Amino acid sequence: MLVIVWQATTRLWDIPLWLLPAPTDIARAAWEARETLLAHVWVTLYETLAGFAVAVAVGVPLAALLVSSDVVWRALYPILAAIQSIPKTAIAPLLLVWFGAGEMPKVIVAFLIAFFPIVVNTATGMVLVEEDLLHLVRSLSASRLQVFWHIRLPSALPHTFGACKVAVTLAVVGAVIGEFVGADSGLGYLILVASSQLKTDLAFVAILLLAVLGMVLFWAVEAVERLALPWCLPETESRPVGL
Amino acid sequence: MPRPPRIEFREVRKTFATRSGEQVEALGGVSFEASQNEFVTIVGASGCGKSTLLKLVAGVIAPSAGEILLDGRQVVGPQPDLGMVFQSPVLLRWKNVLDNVLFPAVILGLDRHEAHERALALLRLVGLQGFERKYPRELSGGMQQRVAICRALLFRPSILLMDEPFGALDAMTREELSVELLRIWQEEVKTVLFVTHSIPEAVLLGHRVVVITRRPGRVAAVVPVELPSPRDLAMATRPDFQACVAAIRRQIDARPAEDLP
Repeated sequence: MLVIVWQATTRLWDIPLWLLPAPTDIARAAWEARETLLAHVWVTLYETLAGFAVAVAVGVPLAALLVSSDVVWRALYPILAAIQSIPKTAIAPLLLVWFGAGEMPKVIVAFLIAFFPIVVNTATGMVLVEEDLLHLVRSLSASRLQVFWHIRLPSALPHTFGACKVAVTLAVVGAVIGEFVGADSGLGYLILVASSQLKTDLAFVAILLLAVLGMVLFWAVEAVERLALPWCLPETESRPVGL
Repeated sequence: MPRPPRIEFREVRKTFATRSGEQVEALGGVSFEASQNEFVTIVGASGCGKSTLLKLVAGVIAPSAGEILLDGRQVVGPQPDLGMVFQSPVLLRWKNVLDNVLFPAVILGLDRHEAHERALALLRLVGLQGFERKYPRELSGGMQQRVAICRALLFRPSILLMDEPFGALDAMTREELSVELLRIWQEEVKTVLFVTHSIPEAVLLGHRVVVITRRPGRVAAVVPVELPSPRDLAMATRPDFQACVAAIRRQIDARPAEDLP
């Protein structure tokens, strides 16, 4: 419906291509640029996934460290919040200075933007353990490591996955921010170049691809979650009757 | 020489600091004992420190004063020989029924094969065969609590601590599980401390009922229950059952024992 109205509007008022391309123009631009597009998609996908992977790899252990003691929590939490408060667009140029024009600065921006929700949510999940469950394991003389491995980590996982779904789409944003600041490939770079040359149709193609990329990654995390956490799936069959 | 009692409380006091820094006295000098293979029920109003008593025996919290003895030895830390059941089942949501029952074996590093056999036998005992691969959220509250009981019994502890295990269940499930618990107790005789706020439940299950006063908790009376074994629900209509319930109710409403003449 939206596409039809869009198409009709651009044709009816004869809106120039550089101002608002019709959906058919966008499709044509996508087809013409299909080979270079794929290359740009791969670059952005790689930067996003690398940043996201590091965010998970750093975020979950950091959350474990945070909940391990009150002192660590009070020392690290304000620092994390401060880092989170810095706009990532503001440090992207600095990262470019430090790490050059390669993929590194983009991966770092993607990481910085993605890791905060993972840390905060995982830590919350690790703290939110029923008190009686802790009494139970303590009555079994469980070690701290056992409590972490058998209780805190699994009970945090649904929170971690929830955060990952948010984080992976944020990582796409991070990669694009990195590309805006300085790059020679990637969808963010493509948007910049295409709009500077008034190739608005191509810029639209890149934006749509970013949306698709974000959605695919979101679904991918959800699929992994479904495989990894069968115990927290929404109920499909009703409870058995009786006791 | 007579054996020391299995579990003995000597003038146990426990004071908690609340979040606002206030000191709250939960237990104000509790003394009683439970002998070998005795089923002792502890009854009192909510907030009288009943649950605290069990956590003290388990060694997961320490008393502020007094001492708790197991077989004549003072409890100073977690005790290996006891199983615990709480008001909520506190199952591990991410493990299926069988693995939940096996959980203590994993923590204690017991023989997996033997524990496995034992777990299956226990699940049969409580009528949960066929549910081994289900996750806790697929079970009703009563079934979850049965799983929790199996978990507590897995490593054959000689003492069972139950903290209002049926308190969150509906009345019918409650009665059914009480009867079942008596049956289990007959098959696997052990010393049981059973906390409840239901007086009829305390009378139905217990050999003796320890009545705890309102906060700070003290022992108001220890009422022996002279009902024949095995017990069943039909006994609730007997006059001696009713008399016992009435006697306990009077004790709960009365002032702490030491204030009486």
